[in-house]
Amino acid sequence: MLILAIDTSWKHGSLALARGDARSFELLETASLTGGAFSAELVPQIAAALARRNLCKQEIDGFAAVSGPGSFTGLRVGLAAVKGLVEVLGKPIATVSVLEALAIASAVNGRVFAALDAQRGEVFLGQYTVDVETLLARSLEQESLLGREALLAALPARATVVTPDASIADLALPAGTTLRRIERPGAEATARIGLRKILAGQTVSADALDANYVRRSDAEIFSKPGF
Amino acid sequence: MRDAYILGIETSCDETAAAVVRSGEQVVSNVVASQIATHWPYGGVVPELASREHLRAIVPVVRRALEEAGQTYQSVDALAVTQGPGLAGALLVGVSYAKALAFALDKPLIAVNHLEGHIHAVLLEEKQKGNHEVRFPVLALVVSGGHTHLYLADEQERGWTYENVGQTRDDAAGEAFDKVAKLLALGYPGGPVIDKLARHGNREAVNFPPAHIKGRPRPGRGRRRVGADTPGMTFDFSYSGIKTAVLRYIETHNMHPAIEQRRRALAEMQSPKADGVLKLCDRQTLDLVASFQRAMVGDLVGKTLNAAGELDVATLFITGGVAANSELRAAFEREAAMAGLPAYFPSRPLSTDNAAMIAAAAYPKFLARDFAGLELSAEASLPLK
Repeated sequence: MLILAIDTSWKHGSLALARGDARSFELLETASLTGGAFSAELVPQIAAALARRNLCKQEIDGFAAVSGPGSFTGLRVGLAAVKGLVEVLGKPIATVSVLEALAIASAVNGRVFAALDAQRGEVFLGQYTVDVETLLARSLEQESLLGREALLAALPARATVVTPDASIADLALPAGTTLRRIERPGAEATARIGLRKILAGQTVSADALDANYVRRSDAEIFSKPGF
Repeated sequence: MRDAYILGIETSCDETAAAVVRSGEQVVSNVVASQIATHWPYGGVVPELASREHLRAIVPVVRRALEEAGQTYQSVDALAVTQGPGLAGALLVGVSYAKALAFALDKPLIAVNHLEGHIHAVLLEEKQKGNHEVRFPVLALVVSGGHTHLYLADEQERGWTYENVGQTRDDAAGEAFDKVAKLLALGYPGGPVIDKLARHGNREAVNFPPAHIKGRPRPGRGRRRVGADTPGMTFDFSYSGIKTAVLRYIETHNMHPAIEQRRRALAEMQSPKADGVLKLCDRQTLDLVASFQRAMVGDLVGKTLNAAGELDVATLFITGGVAANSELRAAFEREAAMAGLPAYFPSRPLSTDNAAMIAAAAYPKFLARDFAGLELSAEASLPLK
């Protein structure tokens, strides 16, 4: 199964082309996307990655896309492109949450708290358990946006926290948590998880595909509605 | 030459739109998903909410446009998308989607300037009516919630040329309508509701003096045919002053209690129609609204006809969301006829943002094989040249 994976959720984007099935995974191509230029670079980089492997777009069997949380605009560039590709090529889509990918990458047995610096003194938090058989994560609670104090209050004693961000490590470590500091997962991890999700039938259609913003828009947070 | 069917996609502001147009002269389908209900509570377009809505709406809207046209992704000849100007995040949804479609289909993609689209909305409908006799040069007033621009447009052998000869220095005209509607608690969007309410008020009740634009013309603009004998000549607009004048009138006439009462009443209604708003307006409010609209219309018509005379144009186009205003249409028809100028407007559905105008504006580029590369990106401040 040939998978195209896209991560446009953060300052630096990436895409990956991989082949795999229930037992194997082979990374064929990766490419990075320059922050601020995702829209300009994404489709040309997809075309180039396919061309380097002498593959044509019709050979892609499934798409994996990071759906959030992260840069609102970045996410939409990636997801709008996936919608367009799938409308024509007609293949399944799996979405991957960055928090879910962190939980899986942590290889923690049992409950794990995945946390991302959400800027503005806030944190994106997800609670997952990872199934060691399928290597898929099950969400225990809806992903949320918390203030730094609320994060500390949400973490039970001896919680295992996985994060790529120093700011969260600095906050969680003195609170007595078990900390796993790992690199932020990108398109390769998205391809691995997306492949397993597609094989498990956890897919979404092009019209239903949406971003997992977690954070509301500023207008909803700050505006006093009135006309 | 055989017919060419172009699928147009437009997401520059708060309408997710898709359309199929045949050879730049016949609208085969035209689908617009309005977001008014989303932005209504905020009294104006919220860019982030607009972008979120576009991502949700883009697939069903494009599918419907194809279905209604009896076309498929595979059967259309080319895709066209609004590159700018507009809200960056909103534009990017349409551009990313259209690029992915074009790549997957191996079909040409055409990048269209939104303002050029508004100008072509007029031509499209004239051609549809069988009028192929539009005389050039054309002076086009593109007037909407985001734009108030005057362009000299000409059809050359190698395609269309545009020269910007005037624009607003601050608020767009449609923005002034929205802001005044917000000040008076009349609901959103302001243009259509003010248009309806103004019919019930005295247009002469309040005198708003015309905006005086200070300064010399901006270099390279508005001077091509104006000549050196008209120093200080400018065709620019300014609409922030009239909004302040309305606010001052509200304050000096103690209108706040009535406004707050109306605001509370409207908050309990779901997207009220103009008739519902009318019942909540007293004489003073209706007179103020009618006088405001008269001043806006007078300024737009006066400046545009002045520019038309100075630039010696053959035809007037009035297009964009504000071109749907009934008093503006009537005034332009009357004044242009007196000046001996043919004046053309799009029908109301093609005045506001739509994708048929994008597919129509793409047609001359399709013929010239002026296609966008896959590295195309959105440009929020894209100039029209």
